Amino acid sequence: MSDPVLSVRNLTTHLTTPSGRITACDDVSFDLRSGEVLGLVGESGSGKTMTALSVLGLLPSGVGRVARGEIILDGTDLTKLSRRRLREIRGRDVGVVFQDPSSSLNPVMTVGDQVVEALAAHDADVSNASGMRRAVELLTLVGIPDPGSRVAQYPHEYSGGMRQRAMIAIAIANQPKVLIADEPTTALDVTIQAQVLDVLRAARRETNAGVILITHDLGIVAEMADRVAVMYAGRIVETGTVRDLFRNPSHPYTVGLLASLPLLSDMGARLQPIAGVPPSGTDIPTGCPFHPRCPLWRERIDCVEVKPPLRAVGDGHFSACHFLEEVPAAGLFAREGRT
Amino acid sequence: MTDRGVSLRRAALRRFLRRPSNLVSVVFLVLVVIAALWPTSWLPHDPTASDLAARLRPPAWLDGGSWSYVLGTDNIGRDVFSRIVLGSRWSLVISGTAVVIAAVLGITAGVIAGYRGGWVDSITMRAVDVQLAFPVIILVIAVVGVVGTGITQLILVMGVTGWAQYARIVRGSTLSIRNQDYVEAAVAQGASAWRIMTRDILPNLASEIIVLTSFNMARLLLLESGLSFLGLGIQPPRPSWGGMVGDARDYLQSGWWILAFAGGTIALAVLSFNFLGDGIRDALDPRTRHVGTAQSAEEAAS
Repeated sequence: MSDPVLSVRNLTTHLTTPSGRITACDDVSFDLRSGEVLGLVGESGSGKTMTALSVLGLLPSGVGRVARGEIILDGTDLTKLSRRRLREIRGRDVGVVFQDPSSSLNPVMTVGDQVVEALAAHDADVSNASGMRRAVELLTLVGIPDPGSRVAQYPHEYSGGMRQRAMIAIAIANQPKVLIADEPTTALDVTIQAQVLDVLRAARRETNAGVILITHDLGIVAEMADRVAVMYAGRIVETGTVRDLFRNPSHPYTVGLLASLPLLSDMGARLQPIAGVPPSGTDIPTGCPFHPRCPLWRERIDCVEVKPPLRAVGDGHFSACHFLEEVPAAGLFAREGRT
Repeated sequence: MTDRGVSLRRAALRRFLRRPSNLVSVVFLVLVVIAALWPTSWLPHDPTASDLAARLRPPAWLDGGSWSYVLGTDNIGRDVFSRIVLGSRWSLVISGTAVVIAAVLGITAGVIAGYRGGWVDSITMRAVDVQLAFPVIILVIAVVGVVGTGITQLILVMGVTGWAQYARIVRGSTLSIRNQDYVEAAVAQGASAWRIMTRDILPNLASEIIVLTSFNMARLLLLESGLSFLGLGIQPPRPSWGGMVGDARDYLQSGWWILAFAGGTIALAVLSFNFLGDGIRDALDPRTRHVGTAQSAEEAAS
């Protein structure tokens, strides 16, 4: 295996809010290799987006702060960089695709100009003509029909799917090493989602970037990702290859997530929700944050008092559960019979 | 598909032209601008030449008037019409230049304050408060007292003091634009603060700035007339609307038309700029139709 292009080590991010300090990311570690897609999944508020913003150095100013840990991109620790150096890296080495393409493009600038802007932000030598040629190339790459005339159009003349394609074109304009896609398909029609995922795949092939795909949709993860990290209350609770994780989930939370997915092979079976609600930022349970909702807990004291570390289940497959050996046999969240 | 951009613009233009007051304002302002820019050789009389034999002639349509002096003559026999036409030149040039200075200063301060936030914002906004609380006329009197009257001083003082109106409104809009996703996206693309302010924020302020400029033209035109009226603005023999009103005060009994036409021109021009600003705003954003119109007109006139 090649060296990881991005290596996040023990990242802990704090948010200071009026109601107290929130630990948005708690001891998060993962590696990302070139050309690999890492799915980052979890419920709302589980710290997926905060992890991405930490990597970009874009935590809300005055509120968010990386308290501990390292974010190593190509040998450089981003947490130690000055704001100016960090800005040079954003958009050049790390590209981002945001959730809502309709508000992420500047309404008063043509799409072509916005691609040129992204290029010019990192290369003062980009002329308008050469930038426009590159913009047309990029729009062609992301599958925008008739790119030659589409470059001169404004975002409101694009459909939602095309806007997201344009966002991807902008994100990969500078051949980034890491591409962060934050819920790239959530705001789109289901019919468009598959197309946009195809474009993301093409973008990864073109740039050979490592992709962090943030989503709450396990279906997209199964389709796109090579490896998955499941987040819960700011912590990575299980990580492994897509195959390992779906075939052999080793954390009760992952089991619960999978059980709440409808399966074509099991039509008519009742979906099993995970009881309870995800913890809010200021009120995270002690020990294992999942224990109040965990069917494996059974009042055991370790779960309440000790934060479970990630332990190896198999090669490259880790789970943060004190009793992960019990998980496969426990028959957690078993689907009830057909109705 | 490109037609949509054009048709949006056309729809805005149609909305603008639908209101008669807009149309009248535009026609009047175009006439004033033409009068200001056209060479004065076509005028029936030299605006500065006095003719004591023709003192205080009434307008042409009254007894004793002649078509040679359409709007009558003043107390030393100068043609009122010619003076109003030439007066437009100085009034417009001075308020126009001052508005440009005010806009450049105010927009710069407003965008920086709104984008940077924090102490930069606090200091700028306190400075705006101080500026708005301080009567400009007093400041002009002070400046004129120190360096004497002159068009350059007038333009500079009006321009420099006019920044606050721009800064306050531009800052507010910048605050809301700053929180838009596309600004965050630009930050994530590694754009510098300067790039974001000039490429992402400023173009989105364009319609607002156009409207503000129209209101500010009205405000500074009125201010300039007021100063000329007081003798602090444009100096004789150069004709100015405010100066004509000032001179005419003494002849209200014998020559009311001097004041009526000069004052009427000022009123019409100020009103037209205000209508224009209102009209453009409503045309560009149909949702805000008639909301806040009265308030902003009031603000501009104050």
